[in-house]
Amino acid sequence: MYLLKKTLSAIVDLELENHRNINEFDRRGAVEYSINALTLMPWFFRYPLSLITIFINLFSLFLNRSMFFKMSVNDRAMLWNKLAGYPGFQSLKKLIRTLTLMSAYGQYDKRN
Amino acid sequence: MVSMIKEIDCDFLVIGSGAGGAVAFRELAMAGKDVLLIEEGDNWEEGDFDAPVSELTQKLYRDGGVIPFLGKPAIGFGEGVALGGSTVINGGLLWRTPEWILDEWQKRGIEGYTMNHLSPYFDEIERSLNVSNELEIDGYDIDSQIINQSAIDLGWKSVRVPRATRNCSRKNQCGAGCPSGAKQSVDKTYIKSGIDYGGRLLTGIRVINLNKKNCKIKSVVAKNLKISEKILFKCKTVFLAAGAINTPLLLKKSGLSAIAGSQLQFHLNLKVFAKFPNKINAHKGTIFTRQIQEFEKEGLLIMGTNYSPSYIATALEHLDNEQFNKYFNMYENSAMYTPMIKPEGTARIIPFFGSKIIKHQLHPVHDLNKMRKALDVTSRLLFNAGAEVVILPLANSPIVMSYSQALSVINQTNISQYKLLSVHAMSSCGMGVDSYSVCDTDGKVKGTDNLYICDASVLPSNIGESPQGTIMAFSHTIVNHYLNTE
Repeated sequence: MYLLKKTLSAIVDLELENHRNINEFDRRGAVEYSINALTLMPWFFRYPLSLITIFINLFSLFLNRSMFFKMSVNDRAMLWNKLAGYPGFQSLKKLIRTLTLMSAYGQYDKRN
Repeated sequence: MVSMIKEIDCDFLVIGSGAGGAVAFRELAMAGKDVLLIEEGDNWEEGDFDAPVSELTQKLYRDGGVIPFLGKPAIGFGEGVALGGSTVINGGLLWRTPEWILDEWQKRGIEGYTMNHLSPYFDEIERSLNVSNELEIDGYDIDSQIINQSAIDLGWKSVRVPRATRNCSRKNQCGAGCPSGAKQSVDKTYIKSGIDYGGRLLTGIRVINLNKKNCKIKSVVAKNLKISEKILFKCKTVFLAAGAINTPLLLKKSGLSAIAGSQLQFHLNLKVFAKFPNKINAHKGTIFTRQIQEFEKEGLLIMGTNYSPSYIATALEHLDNEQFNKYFNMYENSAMYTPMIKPEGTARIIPFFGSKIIKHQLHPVHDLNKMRKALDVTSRLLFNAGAEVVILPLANSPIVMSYSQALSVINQTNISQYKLLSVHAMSSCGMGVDSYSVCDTDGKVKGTDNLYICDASVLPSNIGESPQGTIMAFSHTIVNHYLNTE
């Protein structure tokens, strides 16, 4: 769970990079929201998606000798965008990006 | 862990409290019957809806609103799970069934559902839900007025939309519960009235199985989600209204029909973002005041849609962060529109280790052509209305600045590029007179004596329009036919 949360948090950071309307509270909310969404899914979606998310760290260890969430933003973005070209990761990116933006801008809406 | 078993007796059990179940509940209660309505979701009040759209989506939609129809491409699907079912999270559109659809059904031998038969029920539904098509206010709803004027210029049919609201305060949040209480969902109307007539209600109850013996449903096994308790409902007659996905799933799991859910039909929604030169403040209007019906018989309708930061964010998800920021910040000058398509393809509901998988099969040629046409005519409508920029719901496609550019992009699309959503599922247990129908024209499930279906799953085919009115009229017909012949 720790690894999943750290990795998701790092992905959410990337998806919200340069979003000037979004603050730290919205960002943290988006991480929680994405985890909740995974939890609400039936097990045959939840487990593969969680595993793929954690699996990203294996790639980062192999390529950069670092956990994904400890990489520099540029390296992390490069790896994430590269992985998103492959089946499975493509769906994961689309799902997390949608959840992240929906949650962050939902909070933004309530604040304004 | 589910432990104790509790028994509850009733004469009539209604499973599901959406548009169909609510009607059955009220009609049976009004007739003085001992009726119990059970619903899996919770009972929400308007004060509960004053929260971010994202949070409400997780609470009010089944599986948090993120379970897709699998296939190429995956289709996002939304279904309400709350007292009132999807009427809590829909736009409150209340159409009478198009007459040409009713004629088609009659030609297939489905008697008793002509406009003459259904009209008194539609009158009753419209009265109960305060349906009106006079919702526009000067200075508001400009997004809808823009496409109406554009349709008039192009010679296209545009109509005012009948909606179930009372004093709409334009919160623009219909899809995540109405925070002002203006939307007349069935929990506020039919169910409330059913309780006043003596009907009983239990929420937080998930049905697990229907037990049949000698053609009769003897009992219904359910789980109380609040206290993890098993309940056995003993009843004389069951009206099943668990929705177009869960009704066939229950029939299959209970061994009552092998073919239920094999031909689920649905609508496809596309979200098109348009930026105009002047401020139109779409977020200050309400949705769906006008509908473009020029292409209705080809299975295509166009209308405005909910416009708030959460919805814009999901519609622009396929843009990179820089472009996203640029267009998001043009908030006051922009609006979103939904072309809604009736596809030829269908979907199949497959029970899978205590859950389900829904697999769709869109027609690779005909449905792609329909999607292309939907984007083509929507782009034409919007650029004719003065749009400067249109963002199409297509992965890996440029933002378009003219109709000719849009056309060239659209004509090169493949089916995988389309970002599709669906909120209308139906006909998964369609009634009919042939051996392939799950139930007869009275809504009674074949092979049973006391099990009736009265939700979206019973509709004989895809109606191509928001189905709430049709579902309610069918439910009225089924229940009243039962009461008259009992």
